[in-house]
Amino acid sequence: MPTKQKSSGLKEIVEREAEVMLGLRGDEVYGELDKEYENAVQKAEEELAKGKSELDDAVKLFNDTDVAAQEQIKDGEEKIKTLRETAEKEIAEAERKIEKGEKEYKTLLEEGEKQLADAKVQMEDELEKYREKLSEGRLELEKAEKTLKEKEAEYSAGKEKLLKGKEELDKGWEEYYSALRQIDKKLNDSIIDQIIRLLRAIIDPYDSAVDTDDELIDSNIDMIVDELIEMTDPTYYEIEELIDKLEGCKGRGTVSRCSAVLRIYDDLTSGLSRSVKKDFEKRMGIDEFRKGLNKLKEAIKTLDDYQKQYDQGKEQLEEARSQLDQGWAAFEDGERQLKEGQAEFDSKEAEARQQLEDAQNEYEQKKADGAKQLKNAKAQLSSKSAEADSTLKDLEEELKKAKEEYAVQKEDGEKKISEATQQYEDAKREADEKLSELKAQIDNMKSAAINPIVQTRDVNFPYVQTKSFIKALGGFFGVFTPLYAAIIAIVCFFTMTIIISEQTSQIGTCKAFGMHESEIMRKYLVFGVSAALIGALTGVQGAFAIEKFLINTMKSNMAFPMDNTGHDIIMIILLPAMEVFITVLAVLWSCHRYIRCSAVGLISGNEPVARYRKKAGGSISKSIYLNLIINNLFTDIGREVVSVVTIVVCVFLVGFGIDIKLAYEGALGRQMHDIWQYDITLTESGTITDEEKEAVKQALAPYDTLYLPITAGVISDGDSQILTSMICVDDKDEFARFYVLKNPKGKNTDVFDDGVLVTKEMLDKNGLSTGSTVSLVSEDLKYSDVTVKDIFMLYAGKTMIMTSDYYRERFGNDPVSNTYYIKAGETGGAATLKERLSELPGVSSVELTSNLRDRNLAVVNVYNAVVVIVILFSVMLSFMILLNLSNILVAHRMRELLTMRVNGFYDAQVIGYLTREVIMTVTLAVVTALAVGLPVTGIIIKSIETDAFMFVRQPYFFAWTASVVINVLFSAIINFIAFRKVNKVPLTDISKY
Amino acid sequence: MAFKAENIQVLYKIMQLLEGDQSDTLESSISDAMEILIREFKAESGALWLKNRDSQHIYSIVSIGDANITGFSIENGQGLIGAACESFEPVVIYDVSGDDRFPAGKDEITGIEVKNILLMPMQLRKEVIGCVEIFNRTDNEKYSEDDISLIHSFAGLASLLMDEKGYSYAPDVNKKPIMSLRGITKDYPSGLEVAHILKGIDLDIFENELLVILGESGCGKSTLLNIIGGMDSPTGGKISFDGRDFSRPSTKELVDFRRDSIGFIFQAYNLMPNLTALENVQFIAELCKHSGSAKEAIDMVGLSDRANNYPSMMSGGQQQRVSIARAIVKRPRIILADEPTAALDFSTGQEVLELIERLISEKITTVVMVTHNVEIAKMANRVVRVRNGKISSIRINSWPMHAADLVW
Repeated sequence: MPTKQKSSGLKEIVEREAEVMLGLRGDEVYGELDKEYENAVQKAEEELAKGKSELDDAVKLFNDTDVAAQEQIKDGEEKIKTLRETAEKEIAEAERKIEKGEKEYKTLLEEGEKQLADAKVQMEDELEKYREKLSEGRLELEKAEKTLKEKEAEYSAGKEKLLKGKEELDKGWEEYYSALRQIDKKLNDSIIDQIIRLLRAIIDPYDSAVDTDDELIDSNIDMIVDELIEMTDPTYYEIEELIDKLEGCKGRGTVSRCSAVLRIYDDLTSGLSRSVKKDFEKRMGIDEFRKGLNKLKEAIKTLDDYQKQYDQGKEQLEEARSQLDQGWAAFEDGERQLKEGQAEFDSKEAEARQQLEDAQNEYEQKKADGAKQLKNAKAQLSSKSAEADSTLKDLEEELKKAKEEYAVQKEDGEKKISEATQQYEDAKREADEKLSELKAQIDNMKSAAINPIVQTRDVNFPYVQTKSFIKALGGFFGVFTPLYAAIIAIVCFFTMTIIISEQTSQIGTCKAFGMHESEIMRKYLVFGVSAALIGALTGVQGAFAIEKFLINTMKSNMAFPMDNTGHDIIMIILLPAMEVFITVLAVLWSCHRYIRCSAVGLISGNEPVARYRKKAGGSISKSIYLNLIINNLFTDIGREVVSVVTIVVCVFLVGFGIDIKLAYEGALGRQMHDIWQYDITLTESGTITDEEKEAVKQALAPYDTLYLPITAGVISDGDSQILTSMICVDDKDEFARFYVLKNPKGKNTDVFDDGVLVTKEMLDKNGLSTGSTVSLVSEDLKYSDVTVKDIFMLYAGKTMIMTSDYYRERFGNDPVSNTYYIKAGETGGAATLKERLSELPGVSSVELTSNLRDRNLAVVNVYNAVVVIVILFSVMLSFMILLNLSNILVAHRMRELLTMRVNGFYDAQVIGYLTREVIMTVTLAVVTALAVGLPVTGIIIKSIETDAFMFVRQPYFFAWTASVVINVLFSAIINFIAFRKVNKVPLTDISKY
Repeated sequence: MAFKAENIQVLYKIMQLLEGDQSDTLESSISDAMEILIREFKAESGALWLKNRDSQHIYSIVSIGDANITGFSIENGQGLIGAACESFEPVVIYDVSGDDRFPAGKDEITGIEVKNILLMPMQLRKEVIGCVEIFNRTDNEKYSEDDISLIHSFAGLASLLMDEKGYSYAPDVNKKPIMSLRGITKDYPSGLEVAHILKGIDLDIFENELLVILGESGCGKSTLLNIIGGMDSPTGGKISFDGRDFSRPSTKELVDFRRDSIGFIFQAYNLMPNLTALENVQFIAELCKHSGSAKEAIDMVGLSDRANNYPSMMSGGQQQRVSIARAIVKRPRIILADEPTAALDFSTGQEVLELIERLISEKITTVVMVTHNVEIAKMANRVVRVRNGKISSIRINSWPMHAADLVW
């Protein structure tokens, strides 16, 4: 260790030099002390003079303020007077206006009442006239109704008479038709047809129209035979003529037909008449028939006359009815007009009365409004008047208060000036006392011997802190830089390989077009190197940004500025160079693999040949799915390994990131809550007076406290120096109430009478083992050797605990109590108590135990930032890799997936097939990550601990569970993105894969 | 009979097709020749009807153009076709509107919309054995004497060819359609325009038949196969499956249809590379409702001794056999085979075809096969030729060749 030897030699030289210098420069030092004293005297005088000047300024300010206040009071009085006068004037004006309004109101009321009375009289007159007209109309209508009723009675009598005539007429017609039916029965078209048939049989018995089976002919055969016997030519023609005549009689009315047939009968010639006439007579009874027919003819004449009379009567009655109907219609019209008139009258009367009532209401409304306005005006006047009085009273009250306040303030000011004067006098006296004390100390120092102690930078707090940060960051990045480099190498290699693997068809085409292998390779090299360079430059730029971010986070806690720190140029070049190298390697490897294949094979996708199983063998499982997935994993081992490694790294980084944060904060938490059993630490100033001590004691009297000596010490172990706190304990039991001492095994330990306790952190980092002896320098620079008796758990700070007796034994003097451990009691009371105690004189510092985290906020922030960066970058890199891998998985399996879909697998089943494979991969990766990550994290955490701080070194279950959950979700999201396209590819594309 | 120069060229082509390749089936030759004829007269469709003495029916044995007339039959003497098959004179109707033999302008037998029609009797010696039907001339021209002579010549040549080959159509009247497609259209967006891939397909797929779909690249045959297999949905038209309407199935119905009713044989086999032959078949068998035994399926395709081999350890022909076993294990109603022999050499291709032939001969299922290879069509029961998104012809092979006899 040349550096340490160098520093050790330097320390010895400085120590020797110090002793020489002390000898040589003793007088010079004393002279400087005198000079310092004089400077202190001068400074005190200057401070006092300054105080006096401030006091004089305060007196002047008091006097000026007094004059200004008196002027303000006077202004207020004048203002109130002016306001009162204005208000009285305005009220008088308002009263005058109200009086005028009342007069106008009364006049308007009188006019309104008169107009209303006139309108009422006019309306009643008009209504009376209308009513008279209606009465006249009603009388005329009653008269017309009476006449109409009389005529109606006459019409009814006529109608009755006519109906009687009609009855008789109908009876006559009935009889006539009865007789007519009898006649018709005797001679109808059928009978004429019979006669004709007979006649035809007579003139031509062999005519085809004559039916020989006719009963009529059978029954009259004798007559026919007779006629035939006597048949002559003329007779024949006569019968034919007769038949024609008879045919002409058919289809006529009964009377006309019968008359025509009688006429034919009468005209029958003698030659023919014999048998035929006989037949006629036999059939009809000619005489009787003729009589009946004549009677019918007469009856119809009589009936026609009666019918005419009836029709005339009926016509007259109908005319009368029409007149009556007209009369009734006119009557109804009149009645309707009367009703309309009445309705109009009613309507107009109601309307007129409504108008009058409206006018009355309007008048009443206006009357009420006027009264209300007047009342409001009066009320408003009264209110305004009262308001003005109240305002004036308030102003007077305010003035009175201002006067009182002025008196109080004046008295207060006078009192404060008096107090300030007293303070000035006290300060002057105190300064004189302190100067005398200083003078005494200098004199004392001059008479005492001086032992030099050279402190190395190990006891310089900023140095130690900076060194710790450097160590922590160095440890952190010492682990993560290679890790990231490995990930970047994987990303570069894999991405480039994928890009080129997707170019197989183009490579085949290039080959087919005659490009040389070197030309194809050059093309992809240019592409790969340019992409890698762009990535590298962007990455370096990003790294500078992250560096700046980290420095900004840390610099508030650093003892020196970090703005212009240098850079490690080699590292800056090395990593991008590695990235370019890996990319080139990937391009060469991939191109070489594809260029070896034939152009046709590359274009068709048949080359390079996929590495599927080429050996027959038994199935691993009975489940086809499981066999398929396991075989898939083995077939695609390259992708699988990269997937597992990526997930392992991601799980590790996220788990580590959260764990380290929890380990740091856990350490703070354990110290604040499990070890320290008090709430506040109060440290007295080195110059505290007895009175001040008493005041502090009084202030802490209500609280549970422990008063003990805590000083700084330096452990000198050979060449190294360790700055530590020394706690001296008088009452072990009492101390145990405030401070829990446990050894690393978790068992309670105690303060020893013959040695000291040191922290686990000191054991680990400073090599202070149990039983060893170390050289200790007390705060008053006395040396002594102490023995380490045991180790206790403390996470923040280096601390040594011993009994007061042991201290006395080792250093020859009593330790001076200067620190209180205080239990504040109720929740939230600690902060208030701290504020109160801080104001006490003679108190150096008051710290809440809960402030430990705030004091280490810079480190917490650094870890937060680092954790965020680590997780962010892990996630980004993993996202790229895993998404690529998932996309490749889908692309490689697309033919299988489409075949499954075509064969009727549901979309969910197809995704399930892929998901099973992913689950297996993720499970494998998570188990590996936990198996490797947990021990590695323990080692890394130990290596990045800062000086005087120890993390909780046990792994946090939450951290690793969270990491696993995050990564599982993360994988699920990535695969969801990648697998989404599976069901979107149309089934018809199956031939394309 | 004097021909125009163009008609002489057409007749020459027809004669070449009818008499040219002796290895072609008769239906195939007639179908090709008739296609020329239909094109010549710018007609939408045509058909060749043949009388059968035994059944006293007339059958459509070749159908050309948009309208699918195959499978239709009528009794002798019935309708216009029946009349044409009894007469020696052609029947020409230039406008069927108002003709009560075409209610609502449709053919009574086929239900196809007809605008104009020509029926030419096929005369053999002194007997009419059938007729040639050409309908819906799109140019609305009248048939000249020369045109009639050309059609007459075609009818005569076809009759002579049948007589020479001793052809007799023996229909299987018990065939039931499994799937019927009517007016199927399929459009795809193509840039700013729409590409009409299928322009109205009418097709029936019968039980236990080998239906071969022929056509040039891009004619729409694969799209048609995809629609039959439920891998794609039509833009328009109706599909019925086992008598049920299947025009607009839900996603689940479609998946279930593919799962239980359709088997697939791909050109590239599409086997799961990390499963053995048996596992590949089991993988699908476990999925279906009415699947058969995977082992039996493997036995059937003659791969029992290679059941535990992975696809990478097998030849293309063996892989395609596994693919067939995977299709038949489902016991599907239809197996769709997309160029199943395209990636195979002749002998392995023939083995695969023999296996497919066995599926039909043993009445295991129906196979619809898409191929470029016209030779393979000779083993089909029916051959559908697709051109420009339409069925240009459907012909029935009365005597399909055996796969073992095919040469290409």
